[in-house]
Amino acid sequence: MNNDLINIKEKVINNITIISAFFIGFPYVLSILRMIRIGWDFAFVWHTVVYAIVIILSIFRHRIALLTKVIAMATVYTVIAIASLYKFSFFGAYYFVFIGIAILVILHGFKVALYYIGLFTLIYVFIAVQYILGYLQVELPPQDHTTSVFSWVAILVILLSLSLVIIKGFGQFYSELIVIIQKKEKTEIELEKHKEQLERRVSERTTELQQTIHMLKETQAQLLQAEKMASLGVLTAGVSHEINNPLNYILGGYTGLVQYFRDNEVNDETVTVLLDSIKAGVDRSSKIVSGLNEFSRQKETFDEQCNIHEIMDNCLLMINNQLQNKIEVRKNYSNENPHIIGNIGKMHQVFLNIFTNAYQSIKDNGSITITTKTKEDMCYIEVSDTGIGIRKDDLPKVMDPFFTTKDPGMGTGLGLSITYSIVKEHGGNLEIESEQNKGTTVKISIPH
Amino acid sequence: MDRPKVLYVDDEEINLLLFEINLRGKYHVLKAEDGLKGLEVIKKNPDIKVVVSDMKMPYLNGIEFITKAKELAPNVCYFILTGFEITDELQAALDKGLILNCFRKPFNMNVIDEELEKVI
Repeated sequence: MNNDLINIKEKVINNITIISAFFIGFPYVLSILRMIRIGWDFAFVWHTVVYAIVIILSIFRHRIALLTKVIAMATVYTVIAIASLYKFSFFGAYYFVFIGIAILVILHGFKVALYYIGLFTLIYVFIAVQYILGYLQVELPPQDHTTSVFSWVAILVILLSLSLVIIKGFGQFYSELIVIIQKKEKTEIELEKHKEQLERRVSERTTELQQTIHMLKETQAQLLQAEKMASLGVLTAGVSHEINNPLNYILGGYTGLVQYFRDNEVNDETVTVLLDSIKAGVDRSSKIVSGLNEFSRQKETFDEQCNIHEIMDNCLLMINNQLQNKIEVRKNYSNENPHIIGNIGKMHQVFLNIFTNAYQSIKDNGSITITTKTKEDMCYIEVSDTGIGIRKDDLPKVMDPFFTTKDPGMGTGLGLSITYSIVKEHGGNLEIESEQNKGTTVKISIPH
Repeated sequence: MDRPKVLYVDDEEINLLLFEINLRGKYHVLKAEDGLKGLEVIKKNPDIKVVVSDMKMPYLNGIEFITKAKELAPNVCYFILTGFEITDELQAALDKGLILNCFRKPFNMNVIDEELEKVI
């Protein structure tokens, strides 16, 4: 049954108990006075018991079960009615039975009440017969009425008709009202269910949609990146070819000059220094060109031996002019010189992105610390900077495509998301720890 | 004893010049500015031991030139000298044995010298 209904019934029976305890108090006071006047007798004990029950019910009404209260209250009033009828015939307080009926109707419906009034009628007839036959007599006059069948029948008719009015009138109205309420409630529950279902479906769809949007964004980011890398690849390949040729002139010229000086036995220290400078310049330029090439090579397979230290050094070379004098790079490379199987070009992108983020986050002076470790079959790379760090709110979003806090032109918001997906493509993982104004640490683990 | 003949094919004149200057002490360096001219040189000089070719050239690229040259002179050792990365085309040529090695520009004469010594 519905909780609201139970609460209403609970309230009704509690009210009845309290009112009863209050009003039954008056006759009980009379009973006490009578006891003082004529002494202790059975009637007083019986009054005390009844009153005690009512008082207990009203005091402990919140702890006693509804059914217990209903039965107890109905019984109390019925017993009062029967006792009065027995003692005083129809002068007695037989009408208390109406309260019993009311209680039962409200709490158990009109059918139970009908049985109840039927039972009471039997008791009534039983007592009536005893009065009519003279076995029972009232102490007070007039005696005549109590032995008259007509009087008993008349009272019974009044009793029954009033009972039926209560039962069939109120009771049925009340019962059907309950049926209507319950129906309404059922509809409401169903509506609620539908609503929940609908909400669930909406949220499922929303999640789906969000996932799709996320996927779309990622795909878009990857496409953009691929396109960028493709054009960069074409560009660097062309540029490096064009630069390699003049570098070839320089190196060829250098080689020729070295040979020439040797043949002519020129052993001037200045010449050696000059020649060495040419050689150093060519070496560095050619390293940069080949680093660029590595970075933008357009290979899609993941079957190359990637030397992590070499790749990181290449990337550091590429950003070298951004670091000069301002940022110190500390390398804690492991002695094991970790290699992984993967895509060299893409691994270059990973470290170039991470180093770029690191140096861009350092406003004035600072340092970037690179640590590599190998443990079992994993290769761990940590890149820490002493930059401005990432805001707590932004931290979960930094790997989302197109998320950036950089000024326009400084970043597209693709770097970390691409970096993350490349690391994932290599079967690895990337985590970022950051504290504002202290710095950021990027931790990469890749199987090797 | 005559110096072994080496043909170098490159469309850049300075490269040809430098190659010759740096290796002429040990080798008789023949030069050609493109693949077609290179083929002519091979026809005229059947005693060429080694051919080194640039990759990006007019008319024929390095591999196309070497493929044709190999038909003319199958016993010559062929090398590529390129300013590009090792492309799939070059890798395939290496795998097939069409070329023995691939030098990168800017070229290190010592490395080339060592490699040539090995095959001559």
